[in-house]
Amino acid sequence: MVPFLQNTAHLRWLDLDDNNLQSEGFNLLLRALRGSPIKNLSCARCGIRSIEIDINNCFPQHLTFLNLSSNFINADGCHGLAELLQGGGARLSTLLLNKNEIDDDAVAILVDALQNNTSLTDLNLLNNDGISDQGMTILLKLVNDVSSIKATLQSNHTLQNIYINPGEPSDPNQKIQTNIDMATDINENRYNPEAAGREKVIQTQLHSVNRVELCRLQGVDHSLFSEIDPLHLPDVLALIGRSHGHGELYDVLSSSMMLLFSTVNVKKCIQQERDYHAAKVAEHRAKAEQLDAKLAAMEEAVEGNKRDQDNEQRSNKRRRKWWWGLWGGA
Amino acid sequence: MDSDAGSSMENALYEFNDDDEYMKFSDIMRSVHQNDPYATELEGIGGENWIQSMSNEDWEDLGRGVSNNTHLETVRISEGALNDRTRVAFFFLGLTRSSSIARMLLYEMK
Repeated sequence: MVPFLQNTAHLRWLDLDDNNLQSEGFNLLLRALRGSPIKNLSCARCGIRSIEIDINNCFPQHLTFLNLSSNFINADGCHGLAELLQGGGARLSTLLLNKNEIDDDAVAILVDALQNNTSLTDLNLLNNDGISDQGMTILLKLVNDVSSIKATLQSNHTLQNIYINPGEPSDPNQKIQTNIDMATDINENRYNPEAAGREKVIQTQLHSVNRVELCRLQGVDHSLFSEIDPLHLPDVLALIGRSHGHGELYDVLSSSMMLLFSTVNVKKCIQQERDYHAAKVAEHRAKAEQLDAKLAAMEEAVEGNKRDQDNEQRSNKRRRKWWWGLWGGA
Repeated sequence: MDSDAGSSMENALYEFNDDDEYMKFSDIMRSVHQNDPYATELEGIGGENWIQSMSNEDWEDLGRGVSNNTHLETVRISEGALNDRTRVAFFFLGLTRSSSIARMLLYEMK
């Protein structure tokens, strides 16, 4: 079979479900498919535990669909999978890992790899009993991190479906699942990642009820308005009014009013005080210049008088000399 | 009487199924060799009689037909139909030369 897989130029879909490949066989298979154009590979129920992937050397570069459901993949196995989810060349769009041994640690490894991934749209983690609230919260933060507006904008905007076991309606898991679905729905409806990021900010950060719930689930406890430049607050409030209606605007105004006024007024007061002092400085400078001019005029006047006296003395001497000259000559 | 009638009916159905399987196998071989444009899928379940009765020469013949066929897109083989290494070698030789097979499903090979 390996020579066939190495030489096939047309095979796009290979389904090897229910074969006892085990980890060794699966890794051999991946190496055999290295240069093939295969896009879909299914190896469900094949006894796979660990995966060795060298993304540069031994991996089918065109693979977009990988079904590894009902195997024994745990956190160690996820290290290999992380290789094909990170990096600019990642192409996988669907990864089925339902019914494996995925736990919270394994979820953390996958989430870390998916942080900057822009290809994976579907991730199936159903029937992995090791995933607790903690793992689900990590997944929620992956698609909508509300710790800051920047974090929301930098969340994963590519994943459109994350399948995890839903809890009971009263179960906290159910709320996490609902919020994951909300974020992935936005990803699905907004094909542009930037638009999806903005929509998440509007739907969660700028909606008091949603934000409170997400903050509680993600352990975030600081105010949103401390992040926003006070000068942008009026625009943000207008956006909230447009997006969520007057009721929500009223709620947000109530909570941000003090901040809005105190911050904006303090700034205005400082500006006014500064203007007042600047005017005073200008006034004093003008007064000083006026006084300087007066002083200069006075000094000039004194100087002028002194010159006149000197001239008068000199002319008296000359007259006396002339008179004495006249008298002596006679 | 009724019991006999039921039994003969079962036999008739069984025989009919056998014939159907045999015809299916013949049809498959003919379609593959004649490059039938409507035969785009080849399916073989290991438990079926026609698969079990295939000789190595039959597999080689099928592989040869597959290698020259340009319409066959899907090969679906399951339940140990290709457990024998010789069969696998003959058949995959044909698959390797195929220019049309894009989808291959090999379930439950023991």
